[in-house]
Amino acid sequence: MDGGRTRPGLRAAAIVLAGALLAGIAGPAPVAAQGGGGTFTLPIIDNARMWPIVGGLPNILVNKVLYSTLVKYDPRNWQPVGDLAERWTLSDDRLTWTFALRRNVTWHDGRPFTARDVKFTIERLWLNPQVAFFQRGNIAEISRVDIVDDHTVRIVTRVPFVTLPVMLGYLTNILPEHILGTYTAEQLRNPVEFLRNPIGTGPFRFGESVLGSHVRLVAYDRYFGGRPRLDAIVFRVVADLEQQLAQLQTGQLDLMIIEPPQVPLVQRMPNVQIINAAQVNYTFVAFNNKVEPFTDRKVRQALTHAVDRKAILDKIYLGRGRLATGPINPLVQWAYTDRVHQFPYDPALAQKLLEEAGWQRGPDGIRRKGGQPLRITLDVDRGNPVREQTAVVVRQYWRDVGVDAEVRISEFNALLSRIRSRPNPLQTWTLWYITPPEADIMGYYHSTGTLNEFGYENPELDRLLEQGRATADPQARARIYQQAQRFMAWDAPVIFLVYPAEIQALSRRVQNWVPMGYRDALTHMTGVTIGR
Amino acid sequence: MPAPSPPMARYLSRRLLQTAALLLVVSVVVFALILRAPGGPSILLDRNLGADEIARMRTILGLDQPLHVQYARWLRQVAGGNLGVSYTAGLPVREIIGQMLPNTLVLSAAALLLSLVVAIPAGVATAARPYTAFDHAVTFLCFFGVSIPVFWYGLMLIVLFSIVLGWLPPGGMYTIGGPRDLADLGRHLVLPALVLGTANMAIFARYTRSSTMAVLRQDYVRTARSKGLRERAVLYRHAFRNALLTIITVVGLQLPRLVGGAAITETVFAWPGMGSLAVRAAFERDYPMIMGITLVISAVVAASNLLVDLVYVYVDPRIRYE
Repeated sequence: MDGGRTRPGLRAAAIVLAGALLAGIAGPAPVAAQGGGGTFTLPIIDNARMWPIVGGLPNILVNKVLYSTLVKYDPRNWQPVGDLAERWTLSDDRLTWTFALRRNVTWHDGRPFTARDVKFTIERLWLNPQVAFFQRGNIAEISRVDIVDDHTVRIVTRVPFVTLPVMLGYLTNILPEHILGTYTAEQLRNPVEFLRNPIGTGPFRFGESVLGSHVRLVAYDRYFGGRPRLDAIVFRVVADLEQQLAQLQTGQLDLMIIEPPQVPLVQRMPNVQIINAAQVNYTFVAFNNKVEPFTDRKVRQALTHAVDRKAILDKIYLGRGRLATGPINPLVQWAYTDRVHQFPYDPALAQKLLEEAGWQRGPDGIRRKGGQPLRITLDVDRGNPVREQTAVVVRQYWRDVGVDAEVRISEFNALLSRIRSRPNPLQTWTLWYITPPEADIMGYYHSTGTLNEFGYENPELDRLLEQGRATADPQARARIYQQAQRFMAWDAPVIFLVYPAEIQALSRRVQNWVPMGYRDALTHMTGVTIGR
Repeated sequence: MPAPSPPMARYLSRRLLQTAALLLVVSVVVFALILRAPGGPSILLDRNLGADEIARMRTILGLDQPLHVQYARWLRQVAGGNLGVSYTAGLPVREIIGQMLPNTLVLSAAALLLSLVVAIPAGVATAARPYTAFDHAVTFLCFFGVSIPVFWYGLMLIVLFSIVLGWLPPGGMYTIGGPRDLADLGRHLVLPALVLGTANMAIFARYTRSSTMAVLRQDYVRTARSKGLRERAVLYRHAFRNALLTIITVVGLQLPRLVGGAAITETVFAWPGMGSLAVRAAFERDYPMIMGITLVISAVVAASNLLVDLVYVYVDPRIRYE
């Protein structure tokens, strides 16, 4: 391959040449009709660890193509379909799952993938208290894994847990027992040697990692789903957004995720198209349900009615998304319903509700109750334009109905560690959740949920969520979650803002890209090609 | 450089001892500061990580220990030549710095070279013809170079040379999958070296000008001229040689910045060096990484100060080891 003798010339020529260089095509030979070859390049903001036991977005993205999961999600309906597992059944007592594993799977070092790898990964890594798996909350109900034969495992749960297949597709990569089986707990926490040459079962195997520069994964010829049509995927370390945009425009990157303010700029790039990709998520303004005045449902409802969420969707998200009605995303089609209590923008109703709750306007226009002014601080993280603008706008809507509202901006890291401390010292904050494609929201809204940062506790919802998790019949489950959504909409534990689209800026050279959020699109890379 | 003489050896050992003490103090201060900064390591702050798992990971990482215990553990590690493992990359800090440092040195050396090659002739030339139109023009450019915000300047160069003209890549160090040869490196180096070199260029030019002008007023310069020496010889052999002392001091002061301080330039150009590494480590609260970088940069600062002091002795025979 020719590394770079771009002569001064026309911009278009330079872009084509850069593209050719990156695509690994020697000379200007046209790409074969059925695809074949090419390198797909996308940015990560820091070095990837390639160790799926810990989190961090760079790490998560690379692991999507390097490793496999037992199941992944069907791009059409987000239902779990087999990845390493071919099919699965649930026993009558709803405690034992039997997973039939694919037979033709090999690790990147050529060794066969078997049931031993599954048992090892779940028992020695995910459930091992000395290792601390970052997704443990999603699979903590698993009690043990039994090997039936080389290609069959039984996964036993403590309590009925019908969401297990979905959770086994969510950031739960299977790791090789034949390499890691002899590691001590300390080595499993810091598998330095393994990370120099990580071995997975994904469509792309480890090629090279140049710290601070890139990770290059190359097509695995013996991938069980057939060799990918791309030759390689490169994850470039580019922390700076402007630099990402420049590399996108000059053809060094094939994909980046942008925020609404960048849309007009990217629309002017002739080589790039914009895709509103679906992702299971929602954005919200949270109330700390444990502290006054948010313990009062009327106050929560009033503060929700006071906000023009439609205007926020249109002006801040540029309409790229859908108004949220609850914590379950419409992509979870079987469970989602929008036939719930709606909160149209209605400042008069908001004022009425506040008055009913005992908050009367004082001479300065600020509402008071028992002499205490209604003073609310809204926390937001620095740097994300959508969230910062949302916070400023919501403050104004609240001021309009007599709240002495303030916005406090802090670094994401500092904000999240405050939210996660117990007790949570904040009043209100605006953030987002990306969730598994599931209606099971126990982790977020059950009184014992490990991600319940809202301090929300309601026995009725607890009961519904417990029922939903234990009910195997799909129709009965759907009814339970529809009831939960109606209940939550009325109770307003948070202001559900928007189900935002992930705005992908994708090179026009890329074909067969699956229009899911890129975390999931990366699990469907085998058909993707790079044209000229 | 003269062979180490007894006074020099004594001087060196005293300075090295001072340096070790200094590094210890720096490490204590930085350690206390970063561990008390709000927020925690970003690997503990994944949006999907619950409070129990965070607590478990804090225990595993030893972050639940009192500060002095954590520091003692870190110090023991360092004494054994081990800087720990980066939280984010999962690799030894020493190895990561070992890969980043050469990249930064390449960029810094290119920037330094570029700035000296432009600044010294410009400084001497303006000193020879002070307060002329030429001098004013160079002075204006110098102020421009010092004042221009690095990130904006960098972006403008990217827009012009990468996007509009398409001559140079916007960032990175090599074409990925390319030959990794000098030509490829050179193409990636031009813009960041220019950005990094510009501010220094201006500073060096101003110092060269003022110190050369001061020397030009000395009696021995008048003597040299009255001997009938050519102006060029007067300028470079007599005046500039003596003005060099100031320039060495200024360049020496910039050295540590060139090793660790190119944070913005490296980030803007996605250059895989120490500066961008430090920025990311700070944002992610990658404590072992931050401590490792601090230690290395402090050592370089101390070493370059020492180096400058040694070069003084060589350049100016009046200065001795005391």
